[in-house]
Amino acid sequence: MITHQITDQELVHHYVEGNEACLEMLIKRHKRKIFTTIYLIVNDRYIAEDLFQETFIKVIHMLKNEKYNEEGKFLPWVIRIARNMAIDYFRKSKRNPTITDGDGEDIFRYIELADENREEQIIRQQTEKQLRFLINQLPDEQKQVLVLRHYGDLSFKEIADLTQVSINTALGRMRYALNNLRKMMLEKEISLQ
Amino acid sequence: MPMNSTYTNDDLILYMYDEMEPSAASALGEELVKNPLLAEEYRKLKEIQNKLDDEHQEPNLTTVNMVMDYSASYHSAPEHHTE
Repeated sequence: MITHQITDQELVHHYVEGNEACLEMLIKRHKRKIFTTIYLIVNDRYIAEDLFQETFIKVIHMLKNEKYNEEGKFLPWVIRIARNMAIDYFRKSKRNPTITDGDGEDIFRYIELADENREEQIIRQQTEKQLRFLINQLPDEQKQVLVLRHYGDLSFKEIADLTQVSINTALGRMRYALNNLRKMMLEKEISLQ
Repeated sequence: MPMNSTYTNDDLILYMYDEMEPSAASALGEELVKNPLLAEEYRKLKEIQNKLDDEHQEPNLTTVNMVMDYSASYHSAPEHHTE
C-alpha cells in the first residue's frame, strides 16, 4: 500500500484557500523544532511562548496576504522568522541572551507531564536543564549554529546565508560547538548516554 | 582530525546531518567500516548529537490555541493586523 503524507506545501496551499485545520497540522508538525529553537535562543520559557505567538502572527499575515513564495521550504522560512524575532527582542530590550536565566516551569508543562511518573519527570527535567545550561555556555556564534542546525533543521548552507558567513565557517562553528559541549559534559561528569 | 584519512571532522558532521551528496556519503560510509580511528571520531560526534535530542520543548496549549484563534479571526478584522 502506498501511503502519502501531505506535504508542508500542500498544507500551506489549503490553508491559504481557507482550510484552518491545515495551519493546525503545520503547527503540530513543527512546533517542537520552532519552539525549542526560540527557547534556546532566549533562554526563558515565557518569552519563548510570546515569541512563538509573534512568529505565527507574522506567518499567518504573510500567508494570508500571499507573501509566502518559498515553495517546499516552510520550516526553514518559519525558523528564520523566529530567529529574527528573538534577535529583535534582544535589540529592543537590550538584554544579553547569555545572561538571562528565566527557567520558569509553568503549570501547563506539569499538565503535559502528568502521565509520567514523578521520578522519570525529575530526571528528564534535570537532564534538559543541564543540557540547556551547557548550550548557553557556548560562545554566541557557536550556539547559534548548533541551535539552527540541530533544533531548527536549517542546512549549513541556509545557516551560512542567514548569518552571512561561508559554509566552512558555519561548519567550523558547529565542530567547535560539538567539541566544546563534549568537553564540558566530560568535565562535569554528565552522562553522554 | 582522524589520522590516516582524507576525511575531516567537518565531513563527518555533514555526513551525520545528511548533508553530503549520496555518492560522497556512500564512500565515507565505506571508509567508516574500514577505518577504526575515523569511526571513533564519528562515534564521539554521534554521541553528542544523540545527547542533544534530550532537549526538546513544546509551546503550551494556550499559546497554540491563541495562534489558531488569531488565524480564524484574521479575515474578519484584517485592519487590526500589522506585519
